[in-house]
Amino acid sequence: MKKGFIIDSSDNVAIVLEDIAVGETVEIGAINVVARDQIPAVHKIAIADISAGENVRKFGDAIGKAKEKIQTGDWVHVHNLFC
Amino acid sequence: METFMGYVRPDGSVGIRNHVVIMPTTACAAGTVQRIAREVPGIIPLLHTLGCGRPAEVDRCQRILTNILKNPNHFAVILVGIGCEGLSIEKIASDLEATGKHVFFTKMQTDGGSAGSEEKAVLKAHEYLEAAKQCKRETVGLDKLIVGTECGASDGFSGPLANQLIGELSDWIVEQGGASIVGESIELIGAEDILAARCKDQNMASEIRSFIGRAEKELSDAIGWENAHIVNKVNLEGGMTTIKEKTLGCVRKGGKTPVCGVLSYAEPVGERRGLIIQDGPGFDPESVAGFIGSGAQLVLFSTGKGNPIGFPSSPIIKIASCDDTFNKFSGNMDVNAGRFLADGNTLEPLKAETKEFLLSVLNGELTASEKQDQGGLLCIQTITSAL
Repeated sequence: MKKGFIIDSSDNVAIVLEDIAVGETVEIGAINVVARDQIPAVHKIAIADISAGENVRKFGDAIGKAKEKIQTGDWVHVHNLFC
Repeated sequence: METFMGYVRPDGSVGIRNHVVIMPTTACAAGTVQRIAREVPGIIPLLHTLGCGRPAEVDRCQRILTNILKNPNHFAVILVGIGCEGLSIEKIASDLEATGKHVFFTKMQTDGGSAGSEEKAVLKAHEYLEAAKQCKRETVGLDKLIVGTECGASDGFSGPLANQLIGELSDWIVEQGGASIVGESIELIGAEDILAARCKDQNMASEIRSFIGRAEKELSDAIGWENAHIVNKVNLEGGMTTIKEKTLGCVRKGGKTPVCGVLSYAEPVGERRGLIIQDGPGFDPESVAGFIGSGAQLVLFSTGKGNPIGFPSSPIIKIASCDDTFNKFSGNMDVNAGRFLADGNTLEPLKAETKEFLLSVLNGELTASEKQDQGGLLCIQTITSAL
């Protein structure tokens, strides 16, 4: 199974290690997440649902806010994350 | 305390290399310097584009170049000028002599043109190379070590893997009594609170807030607020989105120890030790030159997408963030942080090996950038803008 990893336990996004296709399951530590988007390697996948305006957390800190509702398995990048 | 074998200089600083370097005091003399360097293999040219004109920058430029030349990796310095440049060749030479460094200078307008200066400099270069051979390495503690930390062409693995590894090495060097420098002001935007909370005193915290705030304003004024807070194209492709995300990855290079000092660009570290933050440029070759000017004998450099950069007279340890970049740039990389995954999601084995490699580099083992002769040009930040 393709893998990802979480940097800090309080993060709501993880990093995928390989290119992921829609519908693929990604093993991230103890959890499995089904990708809802195509996600390039090294990019971010949501590992929890994030409401619009809520902080997106990586490195145990807020890196920005969700532009719209982000669902578990979504690719998180410029289209749905702002500063 | 860990020890290494270094070249103890008259001012107490310790070199990990023993180079004879040659620098033009104006770019007008660069051709002559190149000829001399070709004629005397073994000396290292420090070529740059500066030295005259721009009167507002002359003092700053002279101070920075002097500090770079003072680096303990230099056994001796040869300066080649033409005679009418803005920089004072005599002042640079006397400042270097005051530290006990061997210095020779020649000016073409009074020494017989380029041919006359070349002849004099070639003779001196051979003499210095012979004298350098007589230097012996001595055992010194890691408290004599100053490292600069840098990241370039970062991707999503740079922060959590390569910079994390650098941060853990930085913590180890600080624990051993050495110094570690983190620079690149624009890459600290968003880390003001994190760094301020780690400062030993309130003045340092204010200085850091002040220069990061200035860098953020300059960047926003130049490219607009929104662009200033989204990462560049290479970083975007590498999976990073916001400047805060990049910053959180960048500051990992500084590990977890308290901030013990704040420096301006290329300002000497002197007797300061511990983690030091430098108000410096984000452009890698300029930033690296700033660390060398501050007295760093070695730079730890992480790269996501890959960068072959070296420094002409000092080693850079290159740390690839992932297998792909390590393999693509195999001849240019020293360490592969991507091994984290093969090692079972831990940096511990790699950290132990990298410590050993770092100690061997201090003792003289060449890094990839040295083997590949990637020194190139000396680039310095000539104006005080962070951009």
